[in-house]
Amino acid sequence: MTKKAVAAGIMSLLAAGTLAACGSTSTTSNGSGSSTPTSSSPASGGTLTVGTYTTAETLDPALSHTALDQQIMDNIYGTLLQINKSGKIVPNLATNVSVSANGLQYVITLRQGVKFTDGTPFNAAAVKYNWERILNPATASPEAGNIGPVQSITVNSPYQLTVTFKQAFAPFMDSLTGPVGMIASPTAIQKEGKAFGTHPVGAGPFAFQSWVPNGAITLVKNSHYFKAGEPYLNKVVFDPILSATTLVDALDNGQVQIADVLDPSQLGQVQSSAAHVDDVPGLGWYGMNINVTQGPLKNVHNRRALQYAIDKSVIRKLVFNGTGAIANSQISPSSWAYDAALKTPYSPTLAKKELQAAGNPSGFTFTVQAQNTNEYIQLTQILQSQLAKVGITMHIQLLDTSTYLTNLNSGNYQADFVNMSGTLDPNTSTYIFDDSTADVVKNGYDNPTVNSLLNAALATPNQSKRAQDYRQIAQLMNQDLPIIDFVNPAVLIGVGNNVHGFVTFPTEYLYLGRVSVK
Amino acid sequence: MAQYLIRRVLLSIPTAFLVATIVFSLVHLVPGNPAVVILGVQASPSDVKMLDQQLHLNLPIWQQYLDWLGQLIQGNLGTSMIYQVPVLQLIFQSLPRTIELSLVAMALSILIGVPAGLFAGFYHGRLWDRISLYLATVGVVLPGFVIALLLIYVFTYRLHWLQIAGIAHTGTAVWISPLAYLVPGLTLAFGLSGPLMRILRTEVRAVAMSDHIRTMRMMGSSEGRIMWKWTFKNALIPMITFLGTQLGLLMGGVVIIENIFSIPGMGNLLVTGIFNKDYPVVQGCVLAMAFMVIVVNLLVELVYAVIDPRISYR
Amino acid sequence: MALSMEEQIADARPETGIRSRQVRRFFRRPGNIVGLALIVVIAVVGVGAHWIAPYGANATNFSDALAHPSMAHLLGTDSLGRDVLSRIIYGTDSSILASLGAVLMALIAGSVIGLVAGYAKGTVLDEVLMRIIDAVLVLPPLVLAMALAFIFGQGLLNAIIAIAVVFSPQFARVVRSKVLTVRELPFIEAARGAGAGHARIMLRHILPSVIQPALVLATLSIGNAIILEASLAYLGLGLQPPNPSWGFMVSSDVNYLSQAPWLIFAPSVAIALSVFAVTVVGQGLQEL
Repeated sequence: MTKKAVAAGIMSLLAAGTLAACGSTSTTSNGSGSSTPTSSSPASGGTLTVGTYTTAETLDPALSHTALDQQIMDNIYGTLLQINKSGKIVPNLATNVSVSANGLQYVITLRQGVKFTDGTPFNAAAVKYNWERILNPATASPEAGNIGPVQSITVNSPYQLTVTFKQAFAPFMDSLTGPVGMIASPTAIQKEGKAFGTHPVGAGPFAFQSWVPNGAITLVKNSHYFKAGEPYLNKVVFDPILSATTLVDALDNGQVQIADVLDPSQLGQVQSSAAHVDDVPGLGWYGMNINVTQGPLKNVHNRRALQYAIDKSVIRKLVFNGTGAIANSQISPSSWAYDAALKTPYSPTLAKKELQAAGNPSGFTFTVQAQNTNEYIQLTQILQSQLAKVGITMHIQLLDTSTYLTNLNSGNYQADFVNMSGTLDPNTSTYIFDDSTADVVKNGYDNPTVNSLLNAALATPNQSKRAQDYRQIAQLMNQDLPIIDFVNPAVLIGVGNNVHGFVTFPTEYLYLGRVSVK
Repeated sequence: MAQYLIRRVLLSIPTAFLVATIVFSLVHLVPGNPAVVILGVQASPSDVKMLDQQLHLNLPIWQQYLDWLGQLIQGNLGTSMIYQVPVLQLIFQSLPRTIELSLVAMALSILIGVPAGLFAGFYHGRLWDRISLYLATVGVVLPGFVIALLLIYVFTYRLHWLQIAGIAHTGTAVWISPLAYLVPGLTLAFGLSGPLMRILRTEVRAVAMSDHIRTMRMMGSSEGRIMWKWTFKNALIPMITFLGTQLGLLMGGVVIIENIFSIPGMGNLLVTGIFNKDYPVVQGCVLAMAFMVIVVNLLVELVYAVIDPRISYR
Repeated sequence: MALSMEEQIADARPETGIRSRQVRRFFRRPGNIVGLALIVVIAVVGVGAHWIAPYGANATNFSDALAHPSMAHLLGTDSLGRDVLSRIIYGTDSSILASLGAVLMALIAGSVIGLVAGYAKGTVLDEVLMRIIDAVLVLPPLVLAMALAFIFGQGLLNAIIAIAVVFSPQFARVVRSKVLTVRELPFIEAARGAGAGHARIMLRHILPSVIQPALVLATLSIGNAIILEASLAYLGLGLQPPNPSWGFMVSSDVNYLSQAPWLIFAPSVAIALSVFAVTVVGQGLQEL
């Protein structure tokens, strides 16, 4: 699955496990997971093998930036708050989180009597230690953005702490369901030093056992897990099977019980006698990020021409094998901030009109940079032939990961492709691309109205107000088009028929605490 | 003879040193900064700078080279930038899969090539001879990845006999699931067995024509036994030479085969290392492969010396 | 095997010029005729791709993706609805030219190194050059080519250079060993006595008598070069898409192996046929 394999950099942003519900107003979200048939009494014991599309990089929650790392870490650390099957935020290692009216102070109460698997007590001091580590610039943590503008962290009592923000940061609650909410044993962090990422210790349902670098990661049951009776499995193995066809073969043969994730081209290969596909609407977006300060794409009319000339349904059909949804903005139909009224039609006629308005009626030439994977090669070829019809010539620059990221970080590109894994909080999908002060994605886009709307949406805990802000942002973005969204991809996970209690979440988390095999 | 062997060993030291230097310069010519890959898109320039310092990427290249060489002499291949574990550990973890795969490939190529060569030689010019010659040609003209895909298509998708995910699954050793090594091993053996067959075929012809055999035949020794014994004795050296010199090519083939079958061996380690810009891992893998070739070349010479005392040692 | 082949070639008779007897002997073997005919066909297809191919190399038809072979598309269509036959035809020149170019570069570079090293036999220069050559030969060819292609960046020219670097040591060895015998011959002494400079002796007197074994090695290397180029392309280190190259056609649709095997095997057959053709003809020439 090249889908996300090399998009690690961009995916770092999925980190904030920001989900719909905010604060005490845990209202509904429509991002409910699809569930496998649950048996009445889950069988205890056994081993579950998860075939993964890529290899893990680090299991240190402060340093990880890939989706797979976080799926595994979720099972080692657990999270302070958790997203349940119906998409609601529920207590987990934190029993209560309350927010002050001005949104500046969060009081977090922790579960008592929990121990990390190395015996270190899980308490407020441990949480504080973890968060100060993320905030320390020397750690260079990719989670620094997700923890927010923290002013101070105070331990009130062994099991309670207060986090004070410089300015209100609404996604914080959701961050607690992601890596920020994954608390590691301070003793282990100090003992292991740099090696902690390969020797993680947490308080989640499973304890880390071994990691064959570049190979399998084995977790074993945490018999002191705070949820009585869980986990059901004795052992979980995350086994990287990098070839999409081999992964499906392994699923069909029962060598792996979960295929995480399936390449869309392989959906037809899953044998119904052995397994089925969980096809859940995702929260991310897949599209083109345009540097608005470079070349002919400086001109907004050229960007609009580009948008009109692209038939997104073809991309959905050929790249995603008909899964996912055609995108009209960075916000997926699964999100509470989605605006179904937005339209981005395919129209070569309108594209030609925009080219006229841009002053280059016969078209223009630009270069897109992409990572050298089959998926992007396929995508660029589709776009090339579509754009050629209205006279736009697209050159393709296929790059290795390092050069690609360097160009991205320095703004040295005209356009590139983005595959954002999503979270229900729209902040994750939008902020770094749309806000000129975020200083992460150097696309040169600077619209003061968008900036202030984004910041207003961060500062309000009121969800309907926030939804309004995000809809307005989406409209402005569709006029200015620093981003052209193609598809909101689905989460595609292959699940063996002998796996029970497994839930595929739109956030792509892979919680195995309640999973059993027969 | 001992003197000769010592001289051979000493001669390979400058080669090994040069290989190390070439590998170091190759890897450091690669554009792009590994710190950027490690930190991802959210990294600020100061983060990158800090990591550069931690990884000593900020030092002048000659100093990095000298440091690296000093460590190498002590048997230290450095620490993987991504996994934060010694490269040697990574290599020892993946090496068994690669060696097992190579040995399976060699064994299969002998199993296929030797009988085929004997038959072809016995029935020189007849149908079987021609068929095996054509098959040998097919093995040589097809790239490894095509053979692999062809075997996967036939055995997995059409006949449903074999699984392709066998070794990928937790890097199983050959004695635990020998079947899993069959298709990847066959793929590599395909190219090897053709030339082996030719060697045997030529030897059978040569032996059959020789005066010695005629004499023995007249003295009443059984035909099969003579042929077997003499042919084999004569063919042994060219076979060993051939298999020994093929190790380098085999290592290249392994990279592609491991890629196709998702086998967690050295080839896979190398490819992921290249794409992650994990300098120490790439250096370590290429060096390990090159050293293996050097050692096997030496072994081949040693075997010569033992088998065939006629070789002159200058 | 590489070694023994080189030695064999180095021992080849020094006489130059092909006689009609040799030509007749070459054509007496049916395999040689088949090989030569294939080469002619490949050359015609490569040069005339524009006129022969039924569709454009990148003419996409999204509604007709993964179509089975039919009268409209003799070898079916790929995942973007492009005609596979046309892409194979258009891919011919890059696949073949890349190999020819790489072998030619290796021939030139290797010959120069071998000439200089052999001429300077016993000096430090010879020793250093040969040690480097030994070291390069120890590196697995595909691994070295991968590393080089990756360093130079993606692109056909870079792949060609990478393959050339991998192949040149063999040429250097063959040429050097031949130079070692030639440099002792009386006519070289004579030239030296007549006051000819080093460069003149190397180029005018030694080169013509050592170039034949290098040329034979070149013909035998083309097949390997085609395979190496295809392998690099398969790993994504060759020609920039969407331009078709056989190896890349295989890798880009490898996920459709069970659904649409023709996508994989049609370009594979093209690779196999061209390697077969150049190998057979190369061996035929070597036997002359």
